[in-house]
Amino acid sequence: MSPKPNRREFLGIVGGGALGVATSGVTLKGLSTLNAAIASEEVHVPRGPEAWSLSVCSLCPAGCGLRVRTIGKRAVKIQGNPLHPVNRGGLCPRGLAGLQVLYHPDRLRAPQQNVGSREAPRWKEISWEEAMETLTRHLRELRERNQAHSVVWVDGRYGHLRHRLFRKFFDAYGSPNCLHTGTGLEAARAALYLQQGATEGVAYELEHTRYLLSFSANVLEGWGSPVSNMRAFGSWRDAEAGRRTKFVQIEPRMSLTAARADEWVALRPGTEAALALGIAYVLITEGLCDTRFLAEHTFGFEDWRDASGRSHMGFRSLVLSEYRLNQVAAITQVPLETILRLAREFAGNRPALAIGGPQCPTTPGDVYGAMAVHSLNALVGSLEVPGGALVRPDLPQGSHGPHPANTEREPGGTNHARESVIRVEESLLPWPDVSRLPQVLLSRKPYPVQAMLIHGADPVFSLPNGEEFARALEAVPFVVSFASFLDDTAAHADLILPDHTDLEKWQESASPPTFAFPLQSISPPVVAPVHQTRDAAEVLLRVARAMGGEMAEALPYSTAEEFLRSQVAGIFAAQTGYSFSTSLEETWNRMSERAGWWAPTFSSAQELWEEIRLRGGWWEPTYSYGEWNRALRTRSGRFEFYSQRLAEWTVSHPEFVRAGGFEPGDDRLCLPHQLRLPEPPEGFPFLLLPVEVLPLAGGTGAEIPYLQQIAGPHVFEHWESWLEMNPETAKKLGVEDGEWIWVESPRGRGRARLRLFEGARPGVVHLPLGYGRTQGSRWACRGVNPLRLVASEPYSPAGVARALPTFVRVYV
Amino acid sequence: MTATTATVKRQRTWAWPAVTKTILLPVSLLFALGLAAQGSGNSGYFLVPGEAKAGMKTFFDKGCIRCHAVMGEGGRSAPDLGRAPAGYLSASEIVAAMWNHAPQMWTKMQQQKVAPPSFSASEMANLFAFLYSVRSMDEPGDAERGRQLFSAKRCGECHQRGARTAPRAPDLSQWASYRNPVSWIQAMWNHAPAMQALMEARGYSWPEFQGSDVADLLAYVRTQVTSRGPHLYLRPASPDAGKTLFTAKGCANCHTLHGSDRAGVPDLGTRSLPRTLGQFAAQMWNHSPTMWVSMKAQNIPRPQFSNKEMADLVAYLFAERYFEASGNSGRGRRMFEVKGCGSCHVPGGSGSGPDLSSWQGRVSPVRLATSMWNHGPVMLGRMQEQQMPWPVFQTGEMVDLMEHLNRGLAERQPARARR
Repeated sequence: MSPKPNRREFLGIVGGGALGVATSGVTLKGLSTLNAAIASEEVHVPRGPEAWSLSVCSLCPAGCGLRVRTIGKRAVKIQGNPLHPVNRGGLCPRGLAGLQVLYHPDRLRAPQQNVGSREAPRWKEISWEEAMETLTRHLRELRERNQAHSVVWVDGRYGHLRHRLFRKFFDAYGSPNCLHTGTGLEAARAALYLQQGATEGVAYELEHTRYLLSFSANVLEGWGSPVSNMRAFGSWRDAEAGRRTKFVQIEPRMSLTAARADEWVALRPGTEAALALGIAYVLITEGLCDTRFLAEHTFGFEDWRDASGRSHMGFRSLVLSEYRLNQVAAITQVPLETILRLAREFAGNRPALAIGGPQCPTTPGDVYGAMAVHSLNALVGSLEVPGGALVRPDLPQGSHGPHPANTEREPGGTNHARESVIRVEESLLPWPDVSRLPQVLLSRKPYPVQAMLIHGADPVFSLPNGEEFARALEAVPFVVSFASFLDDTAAHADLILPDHTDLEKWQESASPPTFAFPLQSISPPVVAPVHQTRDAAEVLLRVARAMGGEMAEALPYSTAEEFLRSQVAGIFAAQTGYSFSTSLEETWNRMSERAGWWAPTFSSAQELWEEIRLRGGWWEPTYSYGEWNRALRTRSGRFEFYSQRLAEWTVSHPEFVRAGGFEPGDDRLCLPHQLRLPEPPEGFPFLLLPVEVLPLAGGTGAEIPYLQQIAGPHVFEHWESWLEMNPETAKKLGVEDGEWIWVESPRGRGRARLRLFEGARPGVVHLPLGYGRTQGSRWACRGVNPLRLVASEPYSPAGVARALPTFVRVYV
Repeated sequence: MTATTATVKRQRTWAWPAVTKTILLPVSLLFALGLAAQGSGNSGYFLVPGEAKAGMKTFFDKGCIRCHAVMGEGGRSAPDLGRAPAGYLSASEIVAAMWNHAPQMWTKMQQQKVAPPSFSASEMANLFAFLYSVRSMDEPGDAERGRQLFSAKRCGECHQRGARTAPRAPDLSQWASYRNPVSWIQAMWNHAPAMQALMEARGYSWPEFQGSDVADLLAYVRTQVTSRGPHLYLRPASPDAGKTLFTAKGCANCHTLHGSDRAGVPDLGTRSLPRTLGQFAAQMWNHSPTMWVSMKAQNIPRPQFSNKEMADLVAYLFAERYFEASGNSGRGRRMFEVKGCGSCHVPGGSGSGPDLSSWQGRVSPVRLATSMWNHGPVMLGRMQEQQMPWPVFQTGEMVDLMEHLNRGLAERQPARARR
C-alpha cells in the first residue's frame, strides 16, 4: 500500500521552513552559534571602503558564480553573480554559507605535522618552510628511487583547470595516479558511455523539455546544479510564453522535489529500472516510438545476428517478454493504469526527457537502471534535440602541449610507461573508481603505494567502505592531506597542508554536471588569507620549482594565476565562445551563432582574460544538435540498446556475470534490466534508504552551523540525525515521534531521533547523509553516518560503486 | 532620386529625398556589430540609425518578446518576426507591416490589459535594425530534409566518403564545421567552374536550390561533422570593404545597385533578391552556370574570394538593399486621399488629426513608425468613432506616402516614375 501524505501540509512545512531560514537572518541558531564562537576574535564592525568582487562557489559541483561584498579587508555578504550562466544571480543556502567557511573558528590555521602515531595522532603546528621541505624531500626521494609511480593523488574538488595543473604535475613527476572522486552521477555517465560511447558529461536541456520523467533524480535538491534547475523549473510554468512542462517525480519517498513536482509516483525502492522498462513496453506495443530515430540511429533494438551468425536478443524482445505491464506493476507496486498513462504522456509531449537516478557521490547507483531510463530517451528520439539528452562538448584545451606522461627514467636512460594503480584497462568504464583504492592499498597490487596526497576529498567519511579506506591508509608510508578542516581522512595523515577556502584564492570551475554548455569560471581572490594557509595548486607549483629540471620546465608558472592565464590563452586560441554576459546578450550571441556569426567582445587573449576577471568566466552558449559522430561513438556508431562494450567485457569477466545471477552469454547482461531485489534477512524488517538533503548535499557541509540549522525543515529537525518513518509503521512498532531510537544493520548501528513522516513509505526508513563525522569542527561530529550502516558493493567490477539494499531493525 | 540617409556629421535629421546614395545603412547582423563602432567613431562615413543588439534589448524591455518570437525565441501568441512574412522587407515595408497589423495588436493588448509601450525614435531605429538583422538569418534548417535533398540532388554521388566516382570531390563532412552560409557561398563560387566541368563530363545537370534548401542541406552536412574541434564562424564583416570589393573584383562591371538590369544581369539592390543568406547562396548557385557563360563570352576573368572578402561583399549587398529607391510623390498624394488620411490630417490644422505639413523633409521609416505606434491607439479610437476603416498599405505604397509627406502636403508636382 502506498503512503498518502498530506501534500499541502508537506509543502507548507517545507515552504515555511525555507521562508523562516530566508528571513530570520542572524537570529538563527546557526549564525548566533558561530557568532558566539568567534566573538572573542571579531568584536568590532568592519571598517573601510566597500567593494564587490566575483568568486566561484565550490561547495557543490555546480560551481555557481558569486558576488561578494567586502568592507575593508573583510567579506561581509555573498550574493549570486547575475552574469553567471549557471545561477544567473541565484544562490542556494550552501552558496550563502560561504562566509561561515571562510571565518570558521575551527579551520586549520597553519600546516600540521603528526608527531604521534597513525592510531594516536598528535598534531604539531609547523612552518610552511618546514612543511614544504618535508613534502618536497619525500617526493624527490621517491622519484630518485624510481618510485614516482607509487605516488597517488586523490582529488575531490570540483574545479577543472586545477585538475589540469595537478595532472600536468603528476605527468611530469612520473605518476599515472592522478585520481578523482566522482560527482555522484557516475551511473548516468556510465549509461552514456555504454550506450553512446561518450566519455564527456551527460547533459540535459531541462529548460526546453516539455515533459520530464525523473527517476529518483533529486532535481531541486542537489542534482546537477540546483539553482540552474530551479530556473528551468520556473520556466516550465511560464504562462506568458504559453509553456507548461509537466514534471513527474518517480521515487519511493516524498522528497522536496517530489512535493514540488506536478505528480509524484511512489514506487517500491530499487525498481526504477523495471518501471522504465514497463513504460518502454507501452511505447513499443502502442507504436509510440520514434521509428525513424530507431531505424537510423540505434543498434540492438531488434534481435540481431553477430558476425559468427549467432542470434542475439534485442531490446524489444526483452521488454515484450519480461516487462509486461502486469509484471511491472507487481514489481514496482505502481498501478498498471499509471504506467500506461505515463507512457502515453511521455510519448505525446515532445521533447520529453527521462532522467535518473539521484546524484549522490556517496551512493552513485545502478548502471543498468540508468541504461533503462536513458533508453526511454532513445525510444522517443529525445537524443540530440532541443529539450533532450545531449553530450556536452569538451572545453577547449589549454595552450600547453602534451607532456610525456606516466614515464620514469630507468638507470639506463629509457622511459617506460607505468600502469595506474587502479587499472582502468580491467574496468568496464574508462575512468578509475576511487572506491577500489582500499583493495589496492591493502593488497599492494599491482604495486605498493608509497605516498598518497589527498585534496578536497574525505573518502574515509564519504565512501561506503570508508572504514576500510582508513585501515588501508595505514599501509601507506606517507600521507598528505590538503584539508581546510581536520576531517576523518586528514586524521590519518602525516602532514596537513591546509588549503585556502574559496574566497581566499584564485577560483575556477567548469560546467556543472548535466549542464549542456562548455563553461569555465575564473575569479581572483576576494580577501587575503585569514590564516596561514596556501592554495594547493601553488604548493605543487613550488614543489615543481624546488625539484627543478623537467618538473620546473613542465610547470613554468610561479602562481596559480599564471597557470590560469595560460589556460585562458588556450581558450582564446580556440576562437569560440564569449565571456559571461546578460541573458539578453546570451540570446543575441546564440542567435548570431546559429546564423554563423561569431562576434566576441574580445580580440586578444589579454582582453579575454580582462573580461573574465570582470564578468566571472567564459562559455559557449550554443549547442550543435545532431552531430552524431560526436554524440554516438559506440562501435556501431549508434545508440546501443544492446551495449557491445558490455558484451565484449563480460566475456572476460565471468565474476561479473555470476554476480548478476546470469549464465555466460546471456544477452540480458548487455541490455538494460531490473536487478534482483533481495529479501529482508531474518530480524531486519525495514529497508534503510539514506537521503540527501540540500544543505548537506554530497554528504558535506556539516561543519557549517547555518547548514545544520536548516537541514531538515520538513520534519522540523536539525543539528542531529533523524530517522524518518511512516506513522503507520511507527504505530505498529509502538514508537513515537521524537523518541531517540536505535537503527541497526548487520554492519553497525547508530542512534537518531525518530520523526514521523507521511512521505516515507511503510516499511522503509530514511537517514540523512552528511552526519556522523568523527573529526572536523565542533559542530560536525554529531549524528549517524548512514554509510556506516549500508551494505555496499565498493569493488563493483563495473567501475561504479553502488549501495545495496540494506535492511535494518529499529528499537528504542 | 534615391532613398538613403546622411552621415551624422552632415545632417542630423532625415531628408529622405535629398540625400545621395553614397552612404550605407548597416543593419544586417553581418556587420551590425562591426559597424556600431564605426558609426560612433570618427570616420563619420556611416550613419548608424539603429544598432541591432540595442534593438533586441528594446524588443525585450518593451515586452514585444512576450507575444512575438524572433528565430524561435519568445512568445507564441503572435507571429515570429524573424520569419514572418516569409519574403524580404525593406524599412518602409516593415513600417507598412506594423501599420497594417497594429489595430489587431492593440486590440489584443487591450484584451490582455497590457498598455502599449511607447518608443523613442532611437529605440524604434534600433528595433528596425534588429528586425532587419534577424530577418537576414536562416532558420536552423531541417537536417532530415537536407539529407533527402542531398540524395535527391545526387550530391552524395561525388561528395561523400567512399564515393566511387573519380576524380573524387571533397567529402563535405570535412566542411561540416563551417557554420556560416557565406562560407559556403565562397566555396561554391570559387569551385563552381571546376564542379560544373566535372558534372558536364559526367552528364549531370546542374542542380538548383529553392527556399530553405541550402539551410536544410547545411543542417544535414553539419550532422556529418567528424572533427571534435571548434566550429568555424565568420566575424562581423565590413560593408565598407565590400563596397570596394564590388568594384575591385569587377562585379560592378555587370551588376548595378538600385539601377536597372543590364541585359539580363540582375540588379543586386532590388528587393526581389532573397531575404536570407542561405537563400542568397542558393540564388548564386542557381545562376552560376549562366553567369559563368556570360563572363567567358565577355572575356571577364572569374574573381576568387576569400571567406572574409565574400562576407564583406555580402554585407555590402545586404546593407545596400535596406534602402529602396525613393517613392513616387504623386502616387503618394493619391494614396493620402484614397486611404482617407486627408480627411483628418488637414493642412493648416483644421482637421481632427495633426497637420502633417510640418513633417516636410523629415519623414523616415523610423519616424513614421514611431509616430504611428505612439499615437496610433488614439488615432484608431477616433477612426472607430467616425466608423472609418483602418487603411491597409500594399507593397510600395508606404514609400510613396513617405515621399509625398517629405515633399510637403501642398505639393502638386507631377508624379515621376519611381522605378
